[in-house]
Amino acid sequence: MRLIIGAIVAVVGGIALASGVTVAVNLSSAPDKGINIDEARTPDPWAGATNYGTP
Amino acid sequence: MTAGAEPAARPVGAHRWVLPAVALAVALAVLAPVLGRGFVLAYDMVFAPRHTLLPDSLGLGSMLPRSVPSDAVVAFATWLVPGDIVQKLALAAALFFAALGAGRLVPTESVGTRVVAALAYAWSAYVAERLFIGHWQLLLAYACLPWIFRFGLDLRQGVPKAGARLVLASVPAVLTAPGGILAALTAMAAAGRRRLPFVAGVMLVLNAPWLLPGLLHPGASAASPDGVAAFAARAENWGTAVVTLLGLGGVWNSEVTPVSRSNPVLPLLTLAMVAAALLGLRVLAHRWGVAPARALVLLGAFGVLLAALPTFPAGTALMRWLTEHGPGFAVLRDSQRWIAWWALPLALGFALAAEAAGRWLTTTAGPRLVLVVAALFPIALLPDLAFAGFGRLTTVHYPPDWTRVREIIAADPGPGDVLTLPLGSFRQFDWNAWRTQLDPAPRVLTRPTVLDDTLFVGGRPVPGEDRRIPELRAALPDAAALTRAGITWLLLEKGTAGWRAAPIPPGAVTVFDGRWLTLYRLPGQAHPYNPPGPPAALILSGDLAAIILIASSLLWWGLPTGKLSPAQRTRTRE
Repeated sequence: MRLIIGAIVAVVGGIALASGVTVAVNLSSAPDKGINIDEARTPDPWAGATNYGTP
Repeated sequence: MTAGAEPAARPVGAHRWVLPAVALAVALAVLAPVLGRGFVLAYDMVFAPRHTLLPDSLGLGSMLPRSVPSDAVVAFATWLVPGDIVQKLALAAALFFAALGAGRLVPTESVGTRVVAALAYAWSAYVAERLFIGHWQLLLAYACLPWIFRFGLDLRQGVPKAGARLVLASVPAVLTAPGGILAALTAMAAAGRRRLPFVAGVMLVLNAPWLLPGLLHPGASAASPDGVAAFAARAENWGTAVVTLLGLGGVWNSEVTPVSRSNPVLPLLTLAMVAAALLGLRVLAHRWGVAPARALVLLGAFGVLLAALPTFPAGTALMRWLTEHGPGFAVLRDSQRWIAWWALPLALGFALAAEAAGRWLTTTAGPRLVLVVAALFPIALLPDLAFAGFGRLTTVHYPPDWTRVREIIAADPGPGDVLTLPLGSFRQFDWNAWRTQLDPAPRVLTRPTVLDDTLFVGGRPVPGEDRRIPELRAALPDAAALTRAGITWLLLEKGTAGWRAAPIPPGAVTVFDGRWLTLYRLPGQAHPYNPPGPPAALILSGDLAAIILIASSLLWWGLPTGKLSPAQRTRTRE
């Protein structure tokens, strides 16, 4: 039983930590640092209403 | 074992500072980049240097009372402290007290278990997504829930002053309708059936400032059912919407979803966490007693059900019908926010499962190692909550144009409201790095400011609820019609997308023309606008009742009443 619990904690924890580190490294090395903004966009003032969000 | 007995076993010595230190570390790790001067303006989060108390702040204007009484409270707060500091205090308090509250609620003598519960609750997808979409009031409510549950348990046990503490812990939660509902049901679940009439009565009074204007507002039943589908919870990865919700994510807006939520192993890790939590809830039932633990679990299950409802066709139909036919049901549309009720059993169950698993490992380092892994688990699942979402949020300063326009309008003694152009609620300004943000004009300016509350979601319009807007939209080319409708000023916000809908009316005088704003004054005298609405006296009576309840709870809590009775003293020791 102890072995099973230890193995579960190790495997699940290991996957979680590995995936977390991967995501964090990916984010910190991304050119836009995760900002969901297209910096190059120049809005036409009267082109249309601002989108509140995308489902 | 009785409810509330275990939470009283607090750590002593240096250990007592571990949990507050972790809570502080959470707040700093998330907010450090935005703690300097300046405003965080993102989606619905708008603060201004100084807010003015206006009829809409109390629910007496033409707009639905979405930010009532939060706008009034912020108006009072910014009389004392600049708005950007009020904003940072609110955000930091939400994160700090969420972590501290969850850590203190878990019935254990292990500081490590408390830390696991604190991190599982405060470092969550719910916090990240609601922070990024700017729902700071909801974050405050989320932070209150563990405290409300704790004092509700105390009330169930008859601990002296628990009622006063319950009221005071609920105050930050009732700043808006969703927070008030979250707080009320949490309090009722925690306090139990015997205390239900008292708690229900108290919560009714405490929520009166938004409840009365919300129910009596003429636009209360005008909410568009189109919003049900637009604002439904969504799946964030290959796992279904339900699994996403079980992991506390699933906010309707994909633009505010952290990148880590698309992690391909996330659904499996979420299910592992939920399974562990369910095992841990058995420990909770053993320590608290079955009734309080069952109340917590049922509350969480109700939250999952309500949040997941519009993700099923039958649920969508039901919600559409309720929104169309029942006043006030529009509050249910953004369904993911109800998952906050599930966060408590998830965090407490997960922490207690980690503690139990550690006890099975008989090696000296085993229990500690399991708790360390469990504490790091929520952070590993969501690393991009750190550093304000890795730069997603930042602070900005309003361009001087806003101060100048505020001064001009404040100096004018005449009647008349402000209409902002382009017609629309949301803006994207160069000075805020093109972030989508709510139009700040109603918070910056000193008189009622009308904006078109039609929302564009995924490019499709969701009709707003302000009944004044159709009239103003039709009147816009005609200065005389606008003044008859109570408008004196037109504020053109430049450099942001949006429909102007019509040219500036001829005869409008340019009072200010800056880089970002142009202010026009319409000729003639505006007619005073008297919105059809509930009687002001009734709404103000509700406000007064809530204030009296809070003040008397504060007195009851602060005065030595209750410590003098020998019977109560004995019960406290039990």
